[in-house]
Amino acid sequence: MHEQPAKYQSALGRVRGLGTAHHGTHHWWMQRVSSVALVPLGLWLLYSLIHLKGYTKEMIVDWLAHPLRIVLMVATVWTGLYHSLLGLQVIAEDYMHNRTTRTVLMVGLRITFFLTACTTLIILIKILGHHA
Amino acid sequence: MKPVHRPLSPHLQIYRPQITSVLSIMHRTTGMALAVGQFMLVLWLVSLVASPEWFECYQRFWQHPLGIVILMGLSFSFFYHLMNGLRHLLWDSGRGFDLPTVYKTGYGVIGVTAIATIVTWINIFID
Repeated sequence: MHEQPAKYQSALGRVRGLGTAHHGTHHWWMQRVSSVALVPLGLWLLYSLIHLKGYTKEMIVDWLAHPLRIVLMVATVWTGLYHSLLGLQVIAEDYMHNRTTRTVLMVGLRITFFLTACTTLIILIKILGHHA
Repeated sequence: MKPVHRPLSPHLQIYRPQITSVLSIMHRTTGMALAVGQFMLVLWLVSLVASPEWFECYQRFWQHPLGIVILMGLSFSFFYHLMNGLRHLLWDSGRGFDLPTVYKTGYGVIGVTAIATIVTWINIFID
Protein backbone atom coordinates (compact mmCIF):
# COMPACT_ATOMS: atom_id res chain seq x y z
CA MET A 1 0.00 0.00 0.00
CA HIS A 2 1.55 3.34 -1.04
CA GLU A 3 2.38 5.95 1.55
CA GLN A 4 -0.25 8.60 2.20
CA PRO A 5 0.68 12.16 3.13
CA ALA A 6 0.23 12.96 6.83
CA LYS A 7 -3.28 14.16 7.60
CA TYR A 8 -3.75 16.23 10.70
CA GLN A 9 -7.53 16.22 10.51
CA SER A 10 -9.19 14.08 13.13
CA ALA A 11 -11.66 11.38 12.10
CA LEU A 12 -14.52 13.48 13.39
CA GLY A 13 -13.30 16.49 11.49
CA ARG A 14 -13.26 14.49 8.31
CA VAL A 15 -16.79 13.28 8.79
CA ARG A 16 -18.34 16.59 9.79
CA GLY A 17 -18.95 19.60 7.62
CA LEU A 18 -19.42 17.73 4.40
CA GLY A 19 -22.78 19.30 3.70
CA THR A 20 -25.97 17.73 2.52
CA ALA A 21 -24.33 16.41 -0.63
CA HIS A 22 -22.08 14.48 1.75
CA HIS A 23 -19.08 15.13 -0.42
CA GLY A 24 -17.90 18.56 0.70
CA THR A 25 -16.93 20.74 -2.19
CA HIS A 26 -16.96 17.87 -4.68
CA HIS A 27 -20.49 18.65 -5.81
CA TRP A 28 -19.66 22.32 -6.34
CA TRP A 29 -16.50 21.54 -8.26
CA MET A 30 -18.07 18.90 -10.50
CA GLN A 31 -20.85 21.33 -11.35
CA ARG A 32 -18.20 23.74 -12.65
CA VAL A 33 -16.19 21.09 -14.47
CA SER A 34 -19.26 19.70 -16.22
CA SER A 35 -20.45 23.19 -17.15
CA VAL A 36 -17.12 24.03 -18.80
CA ALA A 37 -17.23 20.75 -20.72
CA LEU A 38 -20.79 21.46 -21.81
CA VAL A 39 -19.90 24.77 -23.47
CA PRO A 40 -18.28 23.18 -26.53
CA LEU A 41 -20.34 19.98 -26.31
CA GLY A 42 -23.66 21.80 -26.07
CA LEU A 43 -22.79 24.06 -28.99
CA TRP A 44 -21.73 21.02 -31.02
CA LEU A 45 -25.06 19.37 -30.24
CA LEU A 46 -27.07 22.43 -31.22
CA TYR A 47 -25.11 22.90 -34.43
CA SER A 48 -25.50 19.22 -35.31
CA LEU A 49 -29.23 19.13 -34.66
CA ILE A 50 -29.76 22.16 -36.90
CA HIS A 51 -27.58 20.54 -39.56
CA LEU A 52 -29.80 17.43 -39.45
CA LYS A 53 -32.92 19.36 -40.38
CA GLY A 54 -34.80 17.61 -43.18
CA TYR A 55 -32.81 14.40 -42.89
CA THR A 56 -34.61 11.08 -43.07
CA LYS A 57 -34.16 8.48 -40.35
CA GLU A 58 -31.61 6.58 -42.45
CA MET A 59 -29.66 9.74 -43.19
CA ILE A 60 -29.54 10.69 -39.53
CA VAL A 61 -28.33 7.23 -38.48
CA ASP A 62 -25.78 7.35 -41.31
CA TRP A 63 -24.53 10.70 -40.12
CA LEU A 64 -24.33 9.62 -36.49
CA ALA A 65 -22.74 6.21 -37.05
CA HIS A 66 -19.18 7.50 -37.02
CA PRO A 67 -16.93 6.87 -34.01
CA LEU A 68 -16.13 10.54 -33.40
CA ARG A 69 -19.76 11.67 -33.56
CA ILE A 70 -20.89 8.78 -31.38
CA VAL A 71 -18.27 9.65 -28.79
CA LEU A 72 -19.30 13.31 -28.87
CA MET A 73 -22.96 12.37 -28.53
CA VAL A 74 -22.29 10.06 -25.58
CA ALA A 75 -20.08 12.68 -23.95
CA THR A 76 -22.67 15.41 -24.44
CA VAL A 77 -25.61 13.37 -23.16
CA TRP A 78 -23.74 11.92 -20.19
CA THR A 79 -22.17 15.22 -19.15
CA GLY A 80 -25.52 16.94 -19.64
CA LEU A 81 -27.36 14.37 -17.56
CA TYR A 82 -24.72 14.58 -14.84
CA HIS A 83 -24.82 18.39 -14.78
CA SER A 84 -28.64 18.32 -14.66
CA LEU A 85 -28.59 15.83 -11.82
CA LEU A 86 -26.26 18.02 -9.77
CA GLY A 87 -28.44 21.05 -10.45
CA LEU A 88 -31.69 19.26 -9.63
CA GLN A 89 -30.17 18.03 -6.38
CA VAL A 90 -29.55 21.63 -5.36
CA ILE A 91 -33.11 22.56 -6.28
CA ALA A 92 -34.47 19.62 -4.27
CA GLU A 93 -32.34 20.66 -1.28
CA ASP A 94 -33.69 24.19 -1.53
CA TYR A 95 -37.38 23.44 -1.78
CA MET A 96 -38.01 20.11 -0.11
CA HIS A 97 -37.98 20.47 3.63
CA ASN A 98 -39.22 17.04 4.58
CA ARG A 99 -36.16 14.84 4.93
CA THR A 100 -37.87 11.63 3.83
CA THR A 101 -39.39 13.20 0.72
CA ARG A 102 -36.09 14.81 -0.16
CA THR A 103 -34.15 11.57 0.23
CA VAL A 104 -36.65 9.66 -1.87
CA LEU A 105 -36.41 12.34 -4.56
CA MET A 106 -32.62 12.32 -4.51
CA VAL A 107 -32.44 8.56 -4.88
CA GLY A 108 -35.18 8.57 -7.50
CA LEU A 109 -33.36 11.23 -9.52
CA ARG A 110 -30.10 9.34 -9.42
CA ILE A 111 -31.73 6.10 -10.55
CA THR A 112 -33.61 7.85 -13.36
CA PHE A 113 -30.51 9.58 -14.65
CA PHE A 114 -28.42 6.45 -14.37
CA LEU A 115 -30.96 4.42 -16.36
CA THR A 116 -31.20 7.16 -18.98
CA ALA A 117 -27.42 7.24 -19.31
CA CYS A 118 -27.34 3.45 -19.75
CA THR A 119 -30.10 3.62 -22.36
CA THR A 120 -28.20 6.27 -24.31
CA LEU A 121 -25.02 4.23 -24.31
CA ILE A 122 -26.72 1.07 -25.53
CA ILE A 123 -28.59 2.90 -28.29
CA LEU A 124 -25.47 4.62 -29.53
CA ILE A 125 -23.53 1.37 -29.50
CA LYS A 126 -26.38 -0.18 -31.49
CA ILE A 127 -26.26 2.64 -34.05
CA LEU A 128 -22.52 2.34 -34.38
CA GLY A 129 -22.80 -1.44 -34.74
CA HIS A 130 -25.39 -1.12 -37.55
CA HIS A 131 -22.98 0.69 -39.77
CA ALA A 132 -19.61 -0.61 -38.71
CA MET B 1 -40.86 17.19 14.64
CA LYS B 2 -43.95 18.51 12.92
CA PRO B 3 -43.41 22.01 11.55
CA VAL B 4 -45.69 24.66 13.06
CA HIS B 5 -47.08 26.87 10.32
CA ARG B 6 -46.68 30.46 11.39
CA PRO B 7 -47.66 33.43 9.22
CA LEU B 8 -44.90 34.89 7.01
CA SER B 9 -44.41 38.53 6.10
CA PRO B 10 -45.15 39.16 2.43
CA HIS B 11 -41.97 38.89 0.34
CA LEU B 12 -42.42 37.77 -3.26
CA GLN B 13 -45.66 39.74 -3.46
CA ILE B 14 -44.07 43.09 -2.63
CA TYR B 15 -40.34 42.97 -3.41
CA ARG B 16 -39.55 44.70 -6.67
CA PRO B 17 -38.08 42.33 -9.30
CA GLN B 18 -34.53 43.31 -10.19
CA ILE B 19 -32.04 42.17 -12.75
CA THR B 20 -30.16 40.28 -10.04
CA SER B 21 -33.07 38.25 -8.74
CA VAL B 22 -34.83 37.80 -12.08
CA LEU B 23 -31.73 36.54 -13.91
CA SER B 24 -30.97 34.26 -11.01
CA ILE B 25 -34.34 32.53 -10.99
CA MET B 26 -34.26 32.41 -14.79
CA HIS B 27 -31.01 30.47 -14.57
CA ARG B 28 -32.69 27.90 -12.37
CA THR B 29 -35.83 27.78 -14.53
CA THR B 30 -33.94 27.36 -17.80
CA GLY B 31 -31.84 24.69 -16.11
CA MET B 32 -34.95 22.72 -15.23
CA ALA B 33 -36.34 23.18 -18.73
CA LEU B 34 -33.10 21.89 -20.21
CA ALA B 35 -33.15 18.89 -17.86
CA VAL B 36 -36.55 17.94 -19.27
CA GLY B 37 -35.30 18.73 -22.78
CA GLN B 38 -32.55 16.20 -22.35
CA PHE B 39 -35.05 13.42 -21.88
CA MET B 40 -36.68 14.59 -25.11
CA LEU B 41 -33.27 14.27 -26.74
CA VAL B 42 -32.74 10.76 -25.40
CA LEU B 43 -36.22 9.84 -26.67
CA TRP B 44 -35.13 11.13 -30.07
CA LEU B 45 -32.10 8.84 -29.98
CA VAL B 46 -34.42 5.97 -29.03
CA SER B 47 -36.63 6.82 -32.02
CA LEU B 48 -33.62 6.32 -34.29
CA VAL B 49 -33.46 2.62 -33.43
CA ALA B 50 -37.20 2.12 -32.99
CA SER B 51 -39.79 1.33 -35.65
CA PRO B 52 -40.18 3.76 -38.60
CA GLU B 53 -43.72 4.53 -37.40
CA TRP B 54 -42.41 5.58 -34.01
CA PHE B 55 -39.78 7.78 -35.59
CA GLU B 56 -42.35 9.42 -37.89
CA CYS B 57 -44.69 10.02 -34.98
CA TYR B 58 -41.98 11.58 -32.85
CA GLN B 59 -40.68 13.63 -35.78
CA ARG B 60 -44.15 14.95 -36.54
CA PHE B 61 -44.62 16.15 -33.00
CA TRP B 62 -41.60 18.39 -33.27
CA GLN B 63 -42.73 19.72 -36.64
CA HIS B 64 -46.15 20.58 -35.23
CA PRO B 65 -46.54 24.24 -34.11
CA LEU B 66 -46.64 23.20 -30.44
CA GLY B 67 -43.43 21.23 -30.91
CA ILE B 68 -41.78 24.20 -32.58
CA VAL B 69 -42.79 26.50 -29.74
CA ILE B 70 -41.29 24.05 -27.26
CA LEU B 71 -38.10 23.89 -29.32
CA MET B 72 -37.94 27.68 -29.36
CA GLY B 73 -38.31 27.66 -25.59
CA LEU B 74 -35.58 25.06 -25.28
CA SER B 75 -33.19 26.94 -27.57
CA PHE B 76 -33.81 30.13 -25.65
CA SER B 77 -33.20 28.22 -22.41
CA PHE B 78 -30.02 26.78 -23.84
CA PHE B 79 -28.52 30.11 -24.84
CA TYR B 80 -29.67 31.82 -21.68
CA HIS B 81 -28.33 29.10 -19.39
CA LEU B 82 -25.08 29.05 -21.37
CA MET B 83 -24.49 32.81 -21.23
CA ASN B 84 -25.58 33.21 -17.62
CA GLY B 85 -23.55 30.09 -16.82
CA LEU B 86 -20.46 31.86 -18.17
CA ARG B 87 -21.40 34.80 -15.97
CA HIS B 88 -21.48 32.42 -13.01
CA LEU B 89 -18.06 31.08 -13.92
CA LEU B 90 -16.82 34.67 -14.02
CA TRP B 91 -18.09 35.09 -10.46
CA ASP B 92 -16.46 31.82 -9.47
CA SER B 93 -13.13 33.30 -10.58
CA GLY B 94 -13.75 36.10 -8.08
CA ARG B 95 -14.47 38.80 -10.67
CA GLY B 96 -17.39 41.06 -11.46
CA PHE B 97 -19.18 41.30 -8.13
CA ASP B 98 -19.46 45.08 -8.09
CA LEU B 99 -22.94 46.28 -8.91
CA PRO B 100 -22.18 48.13 -12.18
CA THR B 101 -20.48 45.02 -13.58
CA VAL B 102 -23.32 42.80 -12.38
CA TYR B 103 -25.73 44.98 -14.33
CA LYS B 104 -23.51 45.20 -17.41
CA THR B 105 -22.93 41.46 -17.63
CA GLY B 106 -26.59 40.91 -16.86
CA TYR B 107 -27.73 43.01 -19.81
CA GLY B 108 -25.03 41.36 -21.89
CA VAL B 109 -26.48 37.94 -21.11
CA ILE B 110 -29.98 39.05 -22.06
CA GLY B 111 -28.77 40.68 -25.27
CA VAL B 112 -26.61 37.80 -26.48
CA THR B 113 -29.32 35.27 -25.61
CA ALA B 114 -31.93 37.18 -27.59
CA ILE B 115 -29.67 37.61 -30.60
CA ALA B 116 -28.45 34.02 -30.58
CA THR B 117 -31.97 32.62 -30.33
CA ILE B 118 -33.27 34.83 -33.13
CA VAL B 119 -30.33 34.09 -35.42
CA THR B 120 -30.67 30.36 -34.77
CA TRP B 121 -34.33 30.33 -35.72
CA ILE B 122 -33.87 32.50 -38.78
CA ASN B 123 -31.26 29.94 -39.75
CA ILE B 124 -33.68 27.10 -39.20
CA PHE B 125 -36.57 28.63 -41.11
CA ILE B 126 -34.57 29.92 -44.04
CA ASP B 127 -33.45 27.06 -46.23
